[in-house]
Amino acid sequence: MDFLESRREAAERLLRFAAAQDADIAPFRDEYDVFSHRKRWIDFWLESDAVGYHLRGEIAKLPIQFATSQSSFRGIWDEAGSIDDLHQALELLQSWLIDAKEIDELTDRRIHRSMI
Amino acid sequence: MPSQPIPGYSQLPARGNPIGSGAEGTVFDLPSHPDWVLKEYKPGTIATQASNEANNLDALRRVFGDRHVVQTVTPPRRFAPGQPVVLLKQKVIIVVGGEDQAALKVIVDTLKKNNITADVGKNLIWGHTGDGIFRWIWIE
Repeated sequence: MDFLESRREAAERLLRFAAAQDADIAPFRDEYDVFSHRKRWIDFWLESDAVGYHLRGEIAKLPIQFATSQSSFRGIWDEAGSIDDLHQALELLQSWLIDAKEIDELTDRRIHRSMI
Repeated sequence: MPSQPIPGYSQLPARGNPIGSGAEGTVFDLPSHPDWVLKEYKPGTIATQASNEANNLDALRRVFGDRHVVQTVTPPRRFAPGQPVVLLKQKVIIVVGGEDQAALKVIVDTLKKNNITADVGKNLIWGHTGDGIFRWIWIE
């Protein structure tokens, strides 16, 4: 399965998982299997024993980790990492896209890399 | 447009703000070279890691060309013991929105055709370098 196939499969599974929790996330999904809302984006893909994610978009608060970098901050964040399962994927989608939380408030995840 | 001087390892430019972080280390702005960044690997990283990463990027460059792979300044093959392991890389500015999904498909198909394993989700960024042209760029 290539990246795009894996992304499609992850989106399909996540939609089904969300539906089972009475959550409809279909309106946030585009034809390429990227979820977006109000200048924030996230997509997921399947890894061997985890779910990969890439979130990017506008943020208001600089994360604590980059507290000294205010002069380099453009209000943009880009982060990729992994989470354990679809349950955590749905939590991350909810906190990032729907609840529009700031980076330091997002749900638990393993961050592989992040950039401002 | 005048070209900027390329930083070097013999006298590393002064580090600016941290602007990126990852499993391997931290990425810093370089105020004297705004189109470049310094990746500083975590203490204990093997002395050849910067060279390994530059080589991996060169392998991607042979397939995707300069436009789609971040440039590096060739690092020493091995950093001296006790010296920080660093890599000078072109700065990539993230662009949010407008990702070219058709171009992404071409990249994914090219990986498959060339039997290359690369982490698309984590290492391929939609952005631009100093030229301001939006495109997919491999950053690792």
